[in-house]
Amino acid sequence: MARFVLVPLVCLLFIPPALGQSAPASDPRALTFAARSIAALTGGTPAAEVTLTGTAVWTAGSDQQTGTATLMAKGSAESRVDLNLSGGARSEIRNVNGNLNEGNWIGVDGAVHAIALHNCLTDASWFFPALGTLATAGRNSNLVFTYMGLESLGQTSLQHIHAYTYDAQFSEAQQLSAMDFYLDPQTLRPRIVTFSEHPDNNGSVNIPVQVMFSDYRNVDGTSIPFRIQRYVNNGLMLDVRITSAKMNSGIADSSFIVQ
Amino acid sequence: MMTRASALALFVAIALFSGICSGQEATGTPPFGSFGGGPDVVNLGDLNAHIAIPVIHKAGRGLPFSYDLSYDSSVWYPVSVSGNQTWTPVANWGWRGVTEAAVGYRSYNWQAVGCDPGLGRITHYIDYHDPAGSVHRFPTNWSTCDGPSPITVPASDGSGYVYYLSLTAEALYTRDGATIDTVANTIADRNGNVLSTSVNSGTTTITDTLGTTALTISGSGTQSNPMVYQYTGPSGLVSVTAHYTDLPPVFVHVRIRQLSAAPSWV
Repeated sequence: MARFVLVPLVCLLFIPPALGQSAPASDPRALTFAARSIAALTGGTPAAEVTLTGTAVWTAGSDQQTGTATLMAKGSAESRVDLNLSGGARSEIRNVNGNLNEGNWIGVDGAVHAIALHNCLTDASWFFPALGTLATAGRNSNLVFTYMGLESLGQTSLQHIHAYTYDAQFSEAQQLSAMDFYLDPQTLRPRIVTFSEHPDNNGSVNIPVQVMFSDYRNVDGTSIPFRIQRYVNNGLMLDVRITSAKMNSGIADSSFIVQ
Repeated sequence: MMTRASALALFVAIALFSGICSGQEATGTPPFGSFGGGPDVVNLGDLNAHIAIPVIHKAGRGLPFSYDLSYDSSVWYPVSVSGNQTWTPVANWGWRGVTEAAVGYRSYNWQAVGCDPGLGRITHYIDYHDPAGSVHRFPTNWSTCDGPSPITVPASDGSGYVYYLSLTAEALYTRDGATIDTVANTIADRNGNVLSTSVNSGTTTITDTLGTTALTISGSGTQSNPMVYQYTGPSGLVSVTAHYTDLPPVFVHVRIRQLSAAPSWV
């Protein structure tokens, strides 16, 4: 088959990296910033789990719904977001404990759907960075951190750290798991976290997500953002104002069961 | 008058043989389409407006060379993420990219899937975006989990393109046997005449099948550094500069299409 050898168009996307390759080394400055950020959030005592409750405003185009929100996270692998909105209830459950199915979303009709696997490679606890990628810096050699420098965003300057998961078998993991953390230069608490989500049926299209954290308050020694805003495609989709926060209250694993 | 049986048969036939449905409108001038308008070409099926501004058209050995600045108006399309619909723009906001206008480009629709162990990728389809903005789809449903065999897939639109895909190589063939390398951005006809592109220090050079520089493209597409297209005309060097202007926000007129609930014969 001459035509198959005439032009062997080698495509980087389709070449699996050589087996046994190891992850690139993380930038020590990025690891230091990540560790100091976690220390600033937790006061030096590692967080195990968190439950946040508050009010939520959900906006999708011209449709705006209000209601209550409960956000739970346990370790770095499990999270749950329950929104009880004027238009109906909605939940998202993430559990990356080695299952092939790592997330469910439940819409207003109560039907359970799988979250596309390519949307499960970023932090399960996107609303609480103390339990996410930052907390595992230096402990997981496949998490690669890069210090991007002090950057200006709008009126302020923020320390920027980029992180991704290295997977020798699945090169797309680098793109799918990429997260950017923008830290307050004085307190080193995360102000903005950005990553991409992707259409259910297409991991190659990136939809920018930006989570903004503000109104940090001290709860049992942990610094918790009492306002969490999630922007999708540069539009505010979810605005949560926390009214109550509990640390390490013993959330049952059954809250995070994924079907 | 059409009987219910024949109408039902027609409906089933349409359902079976219609192309793969996605949220994106067809752009460019797809095969078997109906078009109107001018100078912009309006697809009467989806009302996409395609406009092409010619920069250079010249003959070549085997392969002629054409380069147009072209734009398609169907920019936004809806996608669904975990039950939320959001509008997403097409690449480059409807304008052809620098090398895309010469040789096109390919994109993938894939999903991450769980292999045993680890993760893999299932490629649902590959799209070849030709230089004129038309998209040719190759349904693949090809998973990397099990060390898949190479596949050869014809385009579903009847255009005659064929895609070859394996774990280590890919190739795109035209109806008349030319090979398009969407990675190296070259086209080679079956006699070995090659139209190629190269990028050096931000300047793209397109070399025609005679081995001569057909076009150079520089600039970054901003007001201070506009795109400049240069070629040698009959009386010397010709430059085409694309100037950029900031425009105030505009209100977008939204076109809403509605399908009738049911045909009258039901």
